[in-house]
Amino acid sequence: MLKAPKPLKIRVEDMNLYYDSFQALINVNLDVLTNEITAFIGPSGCGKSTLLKSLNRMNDLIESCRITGKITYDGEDIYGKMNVSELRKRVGMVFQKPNPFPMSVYDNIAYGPRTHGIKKKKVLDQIVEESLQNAAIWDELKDRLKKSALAISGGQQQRLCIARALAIKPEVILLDEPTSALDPISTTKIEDLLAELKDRYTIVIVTHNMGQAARISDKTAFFLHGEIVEFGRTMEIFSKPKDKKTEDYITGRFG
Amino acid sequence: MRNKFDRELQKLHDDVVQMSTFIETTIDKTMSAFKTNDYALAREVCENDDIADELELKVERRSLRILLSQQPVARDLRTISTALKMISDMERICDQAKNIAGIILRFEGHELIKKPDSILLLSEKCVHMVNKSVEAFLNNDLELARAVMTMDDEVDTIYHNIHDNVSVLVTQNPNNVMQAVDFVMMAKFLERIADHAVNIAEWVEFNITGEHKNKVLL
Repeated sequence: MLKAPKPLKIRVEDMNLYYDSFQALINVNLDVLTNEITAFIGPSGCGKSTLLKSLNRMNDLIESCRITGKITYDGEDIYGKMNVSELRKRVGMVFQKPNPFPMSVYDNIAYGPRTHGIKKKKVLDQIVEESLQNAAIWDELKDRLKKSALAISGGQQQRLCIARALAIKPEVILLDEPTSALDPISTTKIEDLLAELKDRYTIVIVTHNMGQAARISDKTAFFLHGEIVEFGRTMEIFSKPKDKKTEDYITGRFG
Repeated sequence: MRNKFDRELQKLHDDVVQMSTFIETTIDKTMSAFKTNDYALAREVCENDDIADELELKVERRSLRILLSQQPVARDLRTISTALKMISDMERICDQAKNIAGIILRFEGHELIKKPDSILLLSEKCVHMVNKSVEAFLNNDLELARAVMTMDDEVDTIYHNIHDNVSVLVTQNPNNVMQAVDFVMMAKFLERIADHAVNIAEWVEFNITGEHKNKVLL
């Protein structure tokens, strides 16, 4: 029996992105569905991180960056009237290198909610515990909440960063190679965590680890030279890709 | 970039080719033993059964090692799963050939009734199907693989005819009953060989298209 398709969360339509005269994304079209994990794969410089950053307007900071086409979030144009902080509240981001703030574990998580006006300690306590629970790191850190976040391991720091992203209750989480700096055990923990989180969030992940894309994602997009060569069900991409370039890349014949 | 992987895949291919050559030779010998009452040849088929097991094990070992070390995807994944599935059918074909050779040996020292022509016809069809399924694998020939699948109906019809004809043999002379039963069994083994040839052809189709019996597996 065919399952009903999940609701559309983000739609990228005929998008082109330029840094000055260099075109980094060429006519990109892509649908991200709710409660799915969408993986972006492709060789370095193919545009996958650029597209990821465009999804919560991280490219706004780059002066030379110019975008044509449309990205809609729940049907609303994110480069239109939508307020950027509102967008980033709904679309959280986790980076390649864990980047905890130089403050305590507790304050790292409470930082976002505080800037959004939450002051009551009881409420903040609850958010901190919930976020750490959801990032599957509460048991490891509950007795070290006052310790510096820089003193915990890299794997823990990355889950702390995920917890920090969850603390402002986003709907979408963007992850840019979140495990490339981590050991295999920490990587497995993050992958397990993402599989768990996808029931409540929509996840988009950039990864260089093909096995990771195959293990955790529902859909995979293969990027090359700024274009999406192929986008489809992960199982299909990794068993019978339609395009020879996809086949050659995922089997390690180039890239 | 993936030299080692490609070398391993080439070796796997060579192993499967070796096994397919072995099964082709085995059923050729079996049917030739039947046609010419060559009991020495039938004995050789029975004794060589271990070789098929060894060849199967060799392919299994190599496939599992590649799965473990290379975590193959796409075409590579399909090739290795196809090899693993095909060799089971190849090994079963050898088992059936051995069963047929066993029946041939039972005829030794007995006066033989005339072999039903349809058995010879059936054996030719089955040998042809096995050869073509192997050829389809070796040449990645989708059209040929699909042709093998359609040949099976004819084999089934011939098998049912043999079934009917043999009962006539028994009615004509009840002394024929033992050999008549053996012919029916032989026909059944041949019919099974044809089924395995179809299975091989279906895996060849999967290898090329990613679909098995019109179903997407992944």
